[in-house]
Amino acid sequence: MAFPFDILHAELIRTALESEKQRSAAKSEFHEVFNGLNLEHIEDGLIQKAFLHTNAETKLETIGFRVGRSLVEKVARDSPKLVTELEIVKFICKEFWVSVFGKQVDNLRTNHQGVYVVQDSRFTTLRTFPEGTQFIKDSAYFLALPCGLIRGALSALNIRAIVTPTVESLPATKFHIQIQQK
Amino acid sequence: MLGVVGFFIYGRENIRLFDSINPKYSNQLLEIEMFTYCSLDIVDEKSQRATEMYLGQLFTDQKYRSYGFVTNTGIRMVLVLDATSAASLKDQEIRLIFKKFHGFYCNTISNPFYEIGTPMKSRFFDEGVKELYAVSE
Amino acid sequence: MSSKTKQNLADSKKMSAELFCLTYGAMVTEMLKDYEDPKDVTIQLDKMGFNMGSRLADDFLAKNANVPRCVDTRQIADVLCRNAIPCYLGVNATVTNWSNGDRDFSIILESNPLTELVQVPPHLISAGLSYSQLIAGAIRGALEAVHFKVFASAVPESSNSNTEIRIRFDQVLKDSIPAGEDD
Repeated sequence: MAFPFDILHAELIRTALESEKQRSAAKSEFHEVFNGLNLEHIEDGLIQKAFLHTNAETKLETIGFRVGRSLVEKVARDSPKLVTELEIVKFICKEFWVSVFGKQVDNLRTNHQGVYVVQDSRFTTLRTFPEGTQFIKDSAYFLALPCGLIRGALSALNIRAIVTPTVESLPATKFHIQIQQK
Repeated sequence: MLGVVGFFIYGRENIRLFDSINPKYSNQLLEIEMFTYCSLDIVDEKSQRATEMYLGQLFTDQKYRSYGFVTNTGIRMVLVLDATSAASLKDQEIRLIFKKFHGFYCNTISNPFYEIGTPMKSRFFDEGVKELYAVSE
Repeated sequence: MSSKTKQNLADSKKMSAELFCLTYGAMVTEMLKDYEDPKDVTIQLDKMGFNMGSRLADDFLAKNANVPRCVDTRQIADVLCRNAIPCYLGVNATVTNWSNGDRDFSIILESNPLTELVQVPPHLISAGLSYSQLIAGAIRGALEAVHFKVFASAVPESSNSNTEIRIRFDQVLKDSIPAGEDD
């Protein structure tokens, strides 16, 4: 398969987690140094690392957001004009989902008050996980970038939203899209 | 021959992202700018009612004519033509120009070093406008 | 296969390339925010490429049982250019610039999908950012998985079209060759 996105994604997650670990190590080291007031012993870059306020999931989400904004421009190029919020969310669940995640969503529900629940019974980045509940915690990292992708795509289409995933049993995933009123 | 005066791209909040004026018209910069701003107001009006991205003719005066296009992501594009030019572009040709520039826009935002919403520079646009003006010789 | 499905397949292939390249690009720019020195980003990209390369080697060997076991660098280069690179990067590649008694060679990518739409700011290039180092790292990782230790680096790109990966063969990792395969 050309362009092994899954492998890149896995590597990206590993790197993000590693730098998160470094960050918390730097933080505790900073505390130690600071408590001893041994200020001349502060290693270069330690302060920067210690005060970097991004954890792995935020990092991944940020990357996804940027990618989503670019991708949606291409996917929406040939689609009809999208006007209403519902049309836009439907577009995300159909054309965008197919292009980016390789399949349509299985279910879309809304309370008509700005909350949408998208259900994907076999979400693409979770394909490699064994089915069931054992690895739900680890799967969270595999959903951060996709959430960013969705949020970035919506944002480009002028919808500000919070996107959060829930997994009850792998690889089925629910995405909650909560529209922020302008 | 075709009389293309300039091409402009604006973001959702009418922030200018890209502009180019045919060097042939460089002595009319101010007029063209004014004309483009007037056209941009009409983009807002027209896009509310439009059923497609292409908005058709926006505005015309004795010197210029403008055409508009709004993408699903709220990017506005304005094409300014010379109204005094004998030959005029067909509707289909204008649509094609917008389609092409939309493609250039997509390519340009795919550059990770480009910060979305800031003025754009890319070889795609450079080549695109060169072609526009070359045809208009 | 109907023409419509074919069309969709071609589209989805193009999309997966785009998703890959855009994600990679966004990742590089994020890393540039985290590391003060662009050189460190290059090192990090090389590391990531290495890890990906080891995984790709397994995948490659599983899918290409007919590829002969390589015994020299000419064969390695041949498999890389004819099989592995077209398979995973979707582009053709050629080998040139043999030197140092066949220990050094360059792989030239006909086009580089990673940089196709990317304009790396010149000041980052001169500060040591090698945007395509992931590919070099992946080659290093893949070859190490089959017991060839090499050094690989992406030659800083002058133009966007051709990307050169310079490879220097170091040694065969004898210790890790399972007994019986050594001849």
